[in-house]
Amino acid sequence: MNNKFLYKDASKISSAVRKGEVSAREITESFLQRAITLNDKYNCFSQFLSSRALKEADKVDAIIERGGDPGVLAGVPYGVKNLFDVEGVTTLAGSVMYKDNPAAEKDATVIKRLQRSGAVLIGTLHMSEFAYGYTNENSHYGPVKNPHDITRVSGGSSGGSGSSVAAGMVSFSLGSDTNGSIRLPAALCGVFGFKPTYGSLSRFGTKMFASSFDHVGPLARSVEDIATAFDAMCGTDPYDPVCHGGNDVSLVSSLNQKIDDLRLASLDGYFKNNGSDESYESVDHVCKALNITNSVKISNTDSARGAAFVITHCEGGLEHENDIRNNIDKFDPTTRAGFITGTLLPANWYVKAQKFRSWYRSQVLNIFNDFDILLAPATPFSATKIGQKTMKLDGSDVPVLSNLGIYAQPLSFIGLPILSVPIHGIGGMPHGVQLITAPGKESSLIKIASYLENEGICIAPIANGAVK
Amino acid sequence: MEQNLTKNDEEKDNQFDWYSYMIELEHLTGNSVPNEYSADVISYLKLTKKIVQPLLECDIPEEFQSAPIYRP
Repeated sequence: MNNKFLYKDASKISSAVRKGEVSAREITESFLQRAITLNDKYNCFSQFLSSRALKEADKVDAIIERGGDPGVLAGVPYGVKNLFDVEGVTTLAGSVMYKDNPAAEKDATVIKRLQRSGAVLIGTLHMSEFAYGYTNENSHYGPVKNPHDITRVSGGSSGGSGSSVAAGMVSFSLGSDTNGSIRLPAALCGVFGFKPTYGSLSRFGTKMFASSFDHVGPLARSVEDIATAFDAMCGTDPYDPVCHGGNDVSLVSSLNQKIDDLRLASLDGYFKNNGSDESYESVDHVCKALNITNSVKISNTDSARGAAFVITHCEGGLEHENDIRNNIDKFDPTTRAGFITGTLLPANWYVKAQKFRSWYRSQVLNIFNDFDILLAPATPFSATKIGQKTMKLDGSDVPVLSNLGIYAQPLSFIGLPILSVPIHGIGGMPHGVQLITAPGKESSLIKIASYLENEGICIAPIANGAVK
Repeated sequence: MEQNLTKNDEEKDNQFDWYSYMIELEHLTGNSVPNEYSADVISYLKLTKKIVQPLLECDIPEEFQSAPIYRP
């Protein structure tokens, strides 16, 4: 086992592989062994792809041996939420309904692109059923555990993606984000999680939840790894009608750039209500580091949450109408009522939500005339206990499931790029702060996050319990 | 947020016959809800109504449309 590289970021591993300091096969074998061992503890992986991984690693090594360039992610082990199609593997989307489906015939577009960059896929990761749920307490496959405290949830719906990165089982992972499903597990597990502009990464070969909200994106322990993975996956895709391919600016080129010209503000109003003191303290901590004194309010954000809720459920209900008709008993009890409800909502709610969406988007885009980046908590509280139903806030008990996503959901459905950056040391568990910018301005997020990482404000160490 | 629901609205929502609503919609949509799940669905419909209430009360300027925009 090659311990030297087990705790390194993707960029360090790739650099060592490309220089021939270590082979991709050695790295892959070490990570597979580590991930298989730790999986009993954290329940991140739904399937290990050892044979495929070793083949991919050998291809990387063969290219290096011939003097070629295997790509910027040469030999870097990663995992994908199990809603991504992987050739030869049944796409589960967190459900038992699909376990007997035929295997996918080809990889999702983003997986093909990562393969071309030399990355090595070692397995598929657990998730909330059909990407619906903020805690990843999947009744069929068990809860994904938080590596910072295994009695606590990982966050969802990309829980396996967040937990596996925080535990150092992979260098980075892919998740999907409809109403916060990358940002929440990233925040609760204390890693970086990136939801890019809607349509910038192809979703072809992924099982959709609510198509007009669905994004895919990376989770990682460093800003450089987020940027590198994003760059590797960018590009148009004729098979995903909403994919525009992002912009032409490489995010890696935005690392370690000056930030003096960026205008920053924290979000006030809705985003400073209904959360814990620790969640606000996390934002204040980042604001202090960046000397942010401005704050700005987005009006009607409570209505935005309502609109996002309606559209998500209508789209999700329709997406799973056949499952409701044919397999209603096989739903996870935590998702069944939500999907059924989505098929029963009045049309005027849906149309009003869509009309509101246009208006709200224009209001928020106007704010970006004055500011480049806005800050808000990623979640109202840190990871709750597995099985915990309510959370005490301001003296009242609030339901965990319907409140964990209150800060993420109103920003998803207008397609903004958002990077959740980790904050450790405030309270016992990690928190996340959302860095939010205008569509296509991902490079600004990387500049700020890179600065915060260099200053030691936002770092994502492997969880203590996972370090031998 | 959920607190925006006034007492009057809340009373109306509580008095509303969610069960009949669900049964009628099942008929129209062709999605039948087995009895053992109907209580959960009704709870979820009530929760949805609470979360959606601020949207329903929101006045949206006329010039904004729900239609997608196609530019040549």
